[in-house]
Amino acid sequence: MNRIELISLLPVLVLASGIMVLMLQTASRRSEHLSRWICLLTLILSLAAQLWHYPDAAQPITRLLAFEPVGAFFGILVLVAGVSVTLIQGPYAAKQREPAEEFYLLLLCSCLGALLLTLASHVGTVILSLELMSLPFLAMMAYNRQRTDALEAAFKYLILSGAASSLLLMGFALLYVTGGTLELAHILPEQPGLLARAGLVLVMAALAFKLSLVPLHIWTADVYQGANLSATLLLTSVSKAAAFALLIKLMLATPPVFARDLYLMLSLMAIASMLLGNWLALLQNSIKRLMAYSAIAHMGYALVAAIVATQSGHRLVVEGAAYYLLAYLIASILIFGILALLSDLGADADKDDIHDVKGLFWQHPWLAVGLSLAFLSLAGMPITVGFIGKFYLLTLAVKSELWWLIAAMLLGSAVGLYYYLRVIFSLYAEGKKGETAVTGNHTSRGWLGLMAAVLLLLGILPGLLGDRLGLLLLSS
Amino acid sequence: MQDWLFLIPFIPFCSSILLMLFAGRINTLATSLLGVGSLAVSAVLTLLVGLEFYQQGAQSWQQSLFTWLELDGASIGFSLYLDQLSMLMMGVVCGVGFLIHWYAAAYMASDPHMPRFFAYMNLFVAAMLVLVLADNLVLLYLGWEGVGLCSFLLIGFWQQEKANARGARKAFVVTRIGDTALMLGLLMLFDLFASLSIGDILTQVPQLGVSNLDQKLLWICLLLLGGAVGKSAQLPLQTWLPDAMAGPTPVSALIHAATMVTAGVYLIARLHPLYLQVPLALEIVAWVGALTLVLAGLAALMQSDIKRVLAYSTMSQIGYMFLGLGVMAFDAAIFHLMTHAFFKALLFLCAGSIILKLHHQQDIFKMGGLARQLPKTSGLFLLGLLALVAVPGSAGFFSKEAILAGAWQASNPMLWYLGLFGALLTSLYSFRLYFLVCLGTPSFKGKTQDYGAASHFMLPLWILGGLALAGGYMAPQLAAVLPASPLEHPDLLAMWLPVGLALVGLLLAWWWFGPAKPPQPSTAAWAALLKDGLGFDRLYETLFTRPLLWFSRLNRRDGFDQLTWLMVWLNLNIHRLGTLTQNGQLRWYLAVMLAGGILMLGGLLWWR
Repeated sequence: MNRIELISLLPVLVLASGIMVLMLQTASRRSEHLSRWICLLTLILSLAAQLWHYPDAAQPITRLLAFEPVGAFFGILVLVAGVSVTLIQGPYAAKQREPAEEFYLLLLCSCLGALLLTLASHVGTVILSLELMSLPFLAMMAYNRQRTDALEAAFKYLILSGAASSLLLMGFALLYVTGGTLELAHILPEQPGLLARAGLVLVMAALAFKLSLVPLHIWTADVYQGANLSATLLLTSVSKAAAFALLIKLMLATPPVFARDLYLMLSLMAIASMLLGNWLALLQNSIKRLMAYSAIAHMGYALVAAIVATQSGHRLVVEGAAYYLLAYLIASILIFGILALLSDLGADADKDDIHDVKGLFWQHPWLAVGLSLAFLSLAGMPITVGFIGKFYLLTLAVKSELWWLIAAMLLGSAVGLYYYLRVIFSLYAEGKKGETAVTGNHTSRGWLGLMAAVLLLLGILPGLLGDRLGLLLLSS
Repeated sequence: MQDWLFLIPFIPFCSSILLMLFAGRINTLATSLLGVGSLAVSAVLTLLVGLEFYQQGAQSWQQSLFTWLELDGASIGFSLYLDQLSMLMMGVVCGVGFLIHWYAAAYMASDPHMPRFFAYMNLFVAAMLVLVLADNLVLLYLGWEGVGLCSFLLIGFWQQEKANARGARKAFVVTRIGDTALMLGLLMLFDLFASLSIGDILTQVPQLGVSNLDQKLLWICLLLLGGAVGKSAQLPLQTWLPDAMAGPTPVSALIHAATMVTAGVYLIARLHPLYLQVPLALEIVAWVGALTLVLAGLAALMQSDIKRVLAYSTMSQIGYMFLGLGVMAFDAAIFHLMTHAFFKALLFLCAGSIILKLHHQQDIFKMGGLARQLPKTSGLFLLGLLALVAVPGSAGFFSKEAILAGAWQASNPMLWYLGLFGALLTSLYSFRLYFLVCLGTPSFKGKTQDYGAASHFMLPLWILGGLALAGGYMAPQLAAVLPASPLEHPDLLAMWLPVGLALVGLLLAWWWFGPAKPPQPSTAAWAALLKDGLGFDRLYETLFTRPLLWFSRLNRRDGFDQLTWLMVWLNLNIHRLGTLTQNGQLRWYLAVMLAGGILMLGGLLWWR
């Protein structure tokens, strides 16, 4: 391993050393405050390293990892999500009775796993990092053990994610049997036989589980609703971004003979996800559950981007997919962050019912405006970043003449508008009496304000990031 | 100096915007300064531009500001056009408009929504100036719609009362019918001439002259007439004007007497070369005017509301203008437009003073004897009425005489007879009004309110009174724009017959409504019919409103609506069906997941 490889691995190394420091600190003297700052510092340093040394071209680091632009972009998303969770966790968990320090340890481990997954170029790395990412989720979901819903959610996720992992392992085993290699780039032979194809489909199924794509979406709603807000945010951002990076990698490695069939399958999954996700969310009262269904739909949209991306390889495409996920991430951070400000981890349940936020505008106008912006962005309204994301997607899909996908996208968006607006209307409706308590310190509020500003800024000036994204991602 | 032409509509527009922005944050004085001051500046500018215009020999002149709309081959500019006709109209709008604004500042001083009032008024003046100065018909249409909007807003200015809102809505809807006709006419014009610039069209018209175009040209003329009839409250779209009196009195004076309602006259005068090509259209214009002037005169006879009398009188006088247009006495019609603006504004403002001093009493049967209590106002009121009756020497005499002279030479003598009958009616209802309001014994209980701001009130009235008296000696020079009326004075009998009829009217009015008789509204059926404006409202209600309402009720649950609801029903049911799968049971979830995996594998096999 030479010096350049070491530098390329810097974000991972920073995270790993942060984990060591945090462990030692927790062992010597417990301090939630200190742990949080160590965690935050680690993540920010790692993010800085990632941004500072952004790859120009794919560059292998041993046989296990490869440093390349698309993966690195998803790495940035993972780290930004990590920073957000760290910032909202402090005030959110201030009143709970469990020891608070371990949460940050788990968070860092999970981020490390996700970051490694974006770098993975080998089956071994994939499996290790996927588990490193997923297992801490279980503990974080049920962090407040008094919440039975949280325990139930963690339990469901444990079992179902175990089943998904078994699909993944089985799939890789089948691929290894036929190809004899574990390197992702060559894992499929040029003329894949039935066994190899079945292997790839099983791997895809496991990824579909992580991305909560139909038909493996069934766990999403219960787990999102049961888990606490920080864990849900992690699930919807870190886990999805990392899994998406892997999905794109696998799709690019698919030989053309099989690609057509695979894309057909993925297109059907995307259509089903967009429609079913939006339909399921229609009359949802729990915002977390609503976000779960909306995640199903949005992953469907993102999958469309991936399909177009791998089919045409046009520069706009990767840009489009990246932009879409970025938009989704920002909106999710805003929504879960604001809900976390209103809720308390120590309480029996989070304040995520649509009636809990009814009339929020009249008490906390800024929070209500932030939530509205996030939901509008998810609905793809102009002047928000979500609109640009959807616009990219539609442009690309029209260029590639994927009419069925476009029809499903439009129908899904129309249905989606209904339930997003339902939440927004509730925010401005005449509220219930009595003050809604709000936690949060300046840093967490400032971060959420920054997210809202970015959401608007990128919506108004899409070129600001779009051009850079294009340059960054094109080189791959 | 002429380069400042665009400022004349622009300044009231800016002031209107400012008033809208700062409504509620500025006091009465600032509002008056802004609202009236902007008009004063415009009036001064009009004067300066006018002086230079006439010094340079009254040459028509165009000011292009910017390209407004890009059309294929015919881009439409935001350009203004100044010639003798638009100069005159601009003078009337800014001059009379300024006086009325001045008066309104005193009239509305105690109203809490005064900034809103002046915002609308200034916007109206700006729109009216755009209308008269427009170089092309699209810009004219912009002004046309703008004044319609302001008229709507101002009629319903006191929107707390349902009747006012209803009057505003009626005015808007009825004029809208005319506006639609005008729009169609403009589109047909564009089709025919491939241009909407007034200058282009008018130079092309004489070269047409092909008989097969006549049918098309006739339709265009009739559609334009439809627009004019709607704006100017002529038959058959006249029903909105009496109800428009719900607005504050300065509004009635400015919009529904002096300026907006004469826009139809201006439109036809502006486009007269079109009408000259189609004699039938001109004849229709004449008949519309003649019939309206008689019907409105009859209706004015039996009104009991002072403002409604004046409204019907306005309708009747505009009827004279249409008659003038129809008999090709275009300059006479425009002359009458100008003098009418003077004396009718005076009449309305006097009526406004009377109404205000009698604590918003508008019923003429509850007035009486005001000549002694309000001598100056009554005197000015009488002056206005004399001009309206066209007593020799007053402003109305010269202009009306010119119109009747035109009608005298028209092919159909019936038009002249109707005009004469109208003169009798005018005199009858005018003196009835005066006798009931100013003579006799006061039926009004309590003292007339004494206004400290009386001088504010009075000064514009004196100026308007002077104009009503002397306006007739300021016959406008329109030779460069409008063809001269067939000038050859009718014989002495024809010239003095209207005056004689006016005298007869005075005597009849004395006999029927004089101070000797107790003021009593007539209760006969024919009187009720006249009071109702000859039942047009009821006719239209049965013919149009009721069937339309019936149809819309019938159509309430229409098919398209049901289709939308079907979509809702479908989506909700899919949602309900979908949520059944989310039952929260782990074993079911696991089974679904594995089934999903198998489905994916199965799909793979299937597509092989």
